[in-house]
Amino acid sequence: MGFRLILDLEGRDPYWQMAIDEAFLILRALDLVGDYVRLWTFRPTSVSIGKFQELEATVDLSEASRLGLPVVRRFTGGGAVVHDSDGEVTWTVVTKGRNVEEVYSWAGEGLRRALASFGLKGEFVPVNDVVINGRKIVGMAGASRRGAVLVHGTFMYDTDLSLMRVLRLPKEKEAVRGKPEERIITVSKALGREVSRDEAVRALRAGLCEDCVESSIPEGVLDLASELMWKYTNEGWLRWR
Amino acid sequence: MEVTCRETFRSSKGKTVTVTAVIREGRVVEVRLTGDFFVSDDSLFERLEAALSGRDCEGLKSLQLPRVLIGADEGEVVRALLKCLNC
Repeated sequence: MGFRLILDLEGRDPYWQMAIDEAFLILRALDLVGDYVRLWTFRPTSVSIGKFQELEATVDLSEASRLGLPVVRRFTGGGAVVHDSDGEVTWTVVTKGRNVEEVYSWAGEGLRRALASFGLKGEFVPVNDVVINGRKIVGMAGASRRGAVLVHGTFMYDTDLSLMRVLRLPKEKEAVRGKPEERIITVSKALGREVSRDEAVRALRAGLCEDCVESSIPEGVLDLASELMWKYTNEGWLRWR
Repeated sequence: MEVTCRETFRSSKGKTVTVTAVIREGRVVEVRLTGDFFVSDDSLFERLEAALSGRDCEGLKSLQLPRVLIGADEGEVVRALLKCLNC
């Protein structure tokens, strides 16, 4: 896979970020763009839910509103996530010719390398997690359309885990896996020191896209993302399930 | 008489799946799958929900479904629907 790297770290709202990623997937399926890795951030801190999740069963909407956290429904499956704008770098891989599970595995290996650059021993746990000593440090979510695959995920270098209180974890899951604060760890917590965003970006770049040519978001992706904004800012999509 | 049945289970791969089914006269009229699972291809998901709809006990038991869900199993979904139908 010959990837180009996009460093898109100024931070934008969750609606725009989802529109950009979905535009990448659509255009990759049509062979109108190539393979990309994008590193980016949500700003402000936001909540995303999986495409197939029920909104009200998943997010405490009044708490999210009290904290000023916008909520977006992703076009990718998986679970709900709080994206701390000052504690997470989000990454996206878009490619073609592999299935979703193969891309999870490929990204998992890259993230393991990123953690290794901090001296941490990460492990990819199928379906979609990277863990350190059994505690999740990276979650990923993917979608596939007409042979193209997009996988995006979190890299929690210094996430404020107390924000996870806005998520409503199913009782079945909490009983087995524990509360989010207990089953999730950040790079900062694992190292016992504060890790900066620049360090996280360097590690992700080394792990996922070391030899990639740096690039910018193609014009066609920006144009299509502008069109897709109607979907992500629409209450009908947010409450689809 | 029409009733709505909701069955939530944790899949063998650790995903939470809720099957919401409208049942009428011993038949699944409509199915909605929600949860933190993934799908192998977006277009196949709608076909999966459609394929599960309109079935009675025997129809569900003999149903051959394509692999669509990732992190969950179609057989687990069928079992939840059979429970809704009391069969």
